[in-house]
Amino acid sequence: MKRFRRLFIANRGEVAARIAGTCDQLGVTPVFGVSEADRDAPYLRGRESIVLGAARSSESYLARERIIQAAVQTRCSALHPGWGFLAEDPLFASLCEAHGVTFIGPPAAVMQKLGRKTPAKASMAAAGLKLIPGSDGVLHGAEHARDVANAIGFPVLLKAESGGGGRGMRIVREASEMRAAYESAQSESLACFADGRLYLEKLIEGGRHIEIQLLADQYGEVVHLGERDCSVQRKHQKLIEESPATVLSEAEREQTLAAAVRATSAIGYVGAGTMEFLLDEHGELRFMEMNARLQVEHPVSEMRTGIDLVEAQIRIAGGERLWFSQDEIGLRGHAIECRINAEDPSSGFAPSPGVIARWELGLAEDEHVRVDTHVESGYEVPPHYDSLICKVIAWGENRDAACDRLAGALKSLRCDGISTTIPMHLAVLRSEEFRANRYDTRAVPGWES
Amino acid sequence: MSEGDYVLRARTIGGEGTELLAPSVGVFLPRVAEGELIASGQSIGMIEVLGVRRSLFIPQNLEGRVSQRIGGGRARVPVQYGDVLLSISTTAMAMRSDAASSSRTADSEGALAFTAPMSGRFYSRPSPSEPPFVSAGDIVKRGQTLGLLEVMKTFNRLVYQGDALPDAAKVERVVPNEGDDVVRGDVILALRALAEG
Repeated sequence: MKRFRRLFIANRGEVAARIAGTCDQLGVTPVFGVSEADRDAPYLRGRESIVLGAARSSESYLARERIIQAAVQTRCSALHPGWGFLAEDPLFASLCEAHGVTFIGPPAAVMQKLGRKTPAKASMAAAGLKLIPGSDGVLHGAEHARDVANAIGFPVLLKAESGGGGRGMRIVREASEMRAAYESAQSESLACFADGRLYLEKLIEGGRHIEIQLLADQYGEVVHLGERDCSVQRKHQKLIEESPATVLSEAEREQTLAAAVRATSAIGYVGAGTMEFLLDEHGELRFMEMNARLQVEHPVSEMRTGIDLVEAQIRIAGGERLWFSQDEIGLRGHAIECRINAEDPSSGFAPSPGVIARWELGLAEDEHVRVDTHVESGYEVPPHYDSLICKVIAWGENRDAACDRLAGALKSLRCDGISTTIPMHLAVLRSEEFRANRYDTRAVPGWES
Repeated sequence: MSEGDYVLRARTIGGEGTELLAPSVGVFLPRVAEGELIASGQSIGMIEVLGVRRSLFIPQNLEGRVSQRIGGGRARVPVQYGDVLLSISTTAMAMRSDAASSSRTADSEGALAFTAPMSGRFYSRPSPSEPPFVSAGDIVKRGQTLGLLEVMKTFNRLVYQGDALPDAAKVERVVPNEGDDVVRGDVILALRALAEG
């Protein structure tokens, strides 16, 4: 079993600060690999850091060789990739291992398999998960796509085999649109992922986005930490996440959780991972994809279970066996998180970088309210990266109690100098549609934009 | 230069010198020493990132003497992006020697002198291993570098120029020895005007 003394954090901002917090508790020294733009950021104060390159990600947070060189140079034996950037890059993971740095995540081969969508789907179906009806593997062309779509029924969604983040996707509502949609999806996929292959699924409109948090050790032991409902979205970007998903029937929940654990074991997964599903109009969960990394909304599951997922990732990567069984994991009460982005929700969610003149949380953090952030008064939100500046997570005995507590915390949060999504979150939490669960992924409940 | 090599980013320090900055995290393998004269287009060494080495080139319009090198005399220096690899005393600021006493006609037979425009330490060659800028018997022309004058840790180029001097002249003798301290007005070069026609 490996005991890491120094751990390299190959990420920035909120997740970098989050990982360092767990390192402190484990007695591991975190070393931050940063870009020029972040070198003086407040979350690096009193920390060890090394500047990788210029602000642009291709020269810093996406520069595989530079990051690993920096990890070796600073004598780190493990590396945490956070989320985004290189977190799901199998080449990066294997390069880390080749240079004697333990990559905190699943094995590169598993990541590679999950990155290609159709083999991943086949593995999941074999383990008993329901899929969205669609093509059997990749398509051979627009003709083939039209035949498959005719068989399963329009509308359909063309998706990129190596895709993600909504790129290379096209909705096709009738056969006559297929050729043009196919060609544009193909060229976009080729440009974004260097892989023009496409597959097709039936379009499920107005579904709910449900996902399952999983944890697996290196010895085949797998547990789940319950599900999360992430249906408050704007353009495929999650805004609010909660657990449990109260729209789910008890039978469907139990059945899918069990199948997800089986599937995770079957593919040889290691570490923390998340399976994403669409809840269709019949109340059935249909597998979409598995994310081979820690997710932004992981604190929701941590609040319910009391398990620190980053700690689990680090200990599993060091070769430890899972130190709790499924039966020992308690899923208590209700937890809900909102993502505070530096965006102006009243003008089309326009990015709002700049200096935070004043940052103040009126309500103290306690065991029921958690604030994950890397910002403080005077911090300048750089224009180079994503807009997430803070997450507020609240716990309650039930959904209403959790929502009320979250709203109270948000009202006490003062952020001057930039626009944030706080007003939108308050409107959602107040709205009848959200409280009564009458919404889906197509529109933000309680917010006209 | 080949693809993947770096042209270094330079940062000017208060008009007295220039710093060359590391273009990436990695291990710097220097190929120039402190005191050496370097110029645009030259490689100062390499940076190694995960075993891959890339040459580091001096940017355009820069010339000077290395006054400081990161890591002292070490052959492999771990650096981060933006670290100062070399500090350079620039000679780009050529000294005008046409100031009051910079040159004078010494006698009626065409004897001339190029004199120190300010006090400092004289060097006749760009680095100890290289030949001198000029030697006895050479013909010097307007704009040509005659030597270096180190003033307050900055190397300044001594350029042949000045209203009292002809466009070209023959070097009779280099007066100071290598590394001698000279004061403003001291004769650096004893020259002779070229015969008319």
